[in-house]
Amino acid sequence: MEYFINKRIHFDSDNGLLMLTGNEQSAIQLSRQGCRLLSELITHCGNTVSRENLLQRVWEEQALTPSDGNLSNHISLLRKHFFQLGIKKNIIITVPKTGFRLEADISLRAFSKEKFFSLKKRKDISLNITDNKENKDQKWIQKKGHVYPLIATIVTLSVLLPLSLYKVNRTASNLDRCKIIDLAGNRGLYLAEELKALTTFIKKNNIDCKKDNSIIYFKFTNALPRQNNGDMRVIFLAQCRRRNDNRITHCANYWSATLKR
Amino acid sequence: MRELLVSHAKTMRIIALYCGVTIAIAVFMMTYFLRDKSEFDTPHPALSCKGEVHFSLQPPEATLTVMNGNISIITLGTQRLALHYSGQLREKEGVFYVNRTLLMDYLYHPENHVMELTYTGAHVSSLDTVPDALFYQALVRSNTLLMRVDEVGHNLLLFSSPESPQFMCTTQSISKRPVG
Repeated sequence: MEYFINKRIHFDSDNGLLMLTGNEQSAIQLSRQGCRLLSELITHCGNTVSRENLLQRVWEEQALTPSDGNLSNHISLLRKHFFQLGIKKNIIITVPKTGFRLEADISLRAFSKEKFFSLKKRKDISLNITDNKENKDQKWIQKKGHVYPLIATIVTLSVLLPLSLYKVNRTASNLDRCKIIDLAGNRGLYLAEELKALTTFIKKNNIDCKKDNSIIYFKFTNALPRQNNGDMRVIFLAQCRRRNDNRITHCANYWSATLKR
Repeated sequence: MRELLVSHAKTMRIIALYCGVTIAIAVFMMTYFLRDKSEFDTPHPALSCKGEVHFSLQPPEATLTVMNGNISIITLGTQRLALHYSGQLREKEGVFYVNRTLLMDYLYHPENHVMELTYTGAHVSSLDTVPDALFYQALVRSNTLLMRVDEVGHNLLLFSSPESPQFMCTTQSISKRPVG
């Protein structure tokens, strides 16, 4: 297991090495007890570990004779190594009549997920676990997870809002300041012919599209089919004037029917 | 792995929440704004509408009939309607001044916005100079009329006969005036 103490010191517990981060040349080889002692302090980082606990874990469980003097010597040696590696502040605190406490920022680089989660399961662990790659992925996902739905919300609303507010159901074009709307909604083959007839009708009735801001609704109707040798053509046109706020104020209707035989 | 899955599940919940809110807002807006909030979906629409008219009718081998003026339509309760004509009527018989109100019974069909109108009488102003028969022949033509009523835009109505649009008018708001 590899630990990083205050981001400056790299502790390789498997090999018992203590070194500056990224500088293997600075490595200091710890004794087995020193390595286990530091591991225990890291495991309980921020919490006071009793002398008895340390003696049991580091010495008795390794079938070694526990000794207060040995414990104190190894603590002093660790302090000396930290000082040599540039941590001037004492990070191994002596808690009188109790034990010792490590006060440092510990980062862990887990080399296997099993060991990572087995370490996390222990309740006495107070590690600041940072798995760089996974945390980066999680942060990316969380960030994108908020951004993309927000973007989707904004895009959806900006598309739906105009569509829902305006009922678009007529074809429209423009003639000067007049908006022309065909009530029949035709885009058929006779559109050019109709436009010509419409323009003629507008001129004939002195409808002013240069001055008036208005909407012109129109519809051409053939009431009787030509096959019956009769023809009734109806032109309906309504010019509805608009105010500046586009509210319709007045409509003038032009209805012209011509019957032919 | 478990931690990663937990984190992904949380993110997915957030995404689902946003999508759900978006869909809910969209559905609300579509049902609210696209619904037909229309007087003309009810069997007794209240109506007060006015427009300028320029009608011309050219029968075969006959003189052109022209009317220039204004028409107002106003409902009188749930069964009667008034059609007011004012303006000038030009016929082969001469030029006449029109100022009269036709009273009609109406039956409105909200399912297809069609109004059945039955002529019941007329109130003729003293300013009106059109002979009744001439007026009837030129502008009414039948005791019953079928009119489709369409809301073309805000405060804009289109009245159409079965053959063609006839008249577009702007609705008038009815304001309460203090009496006395």
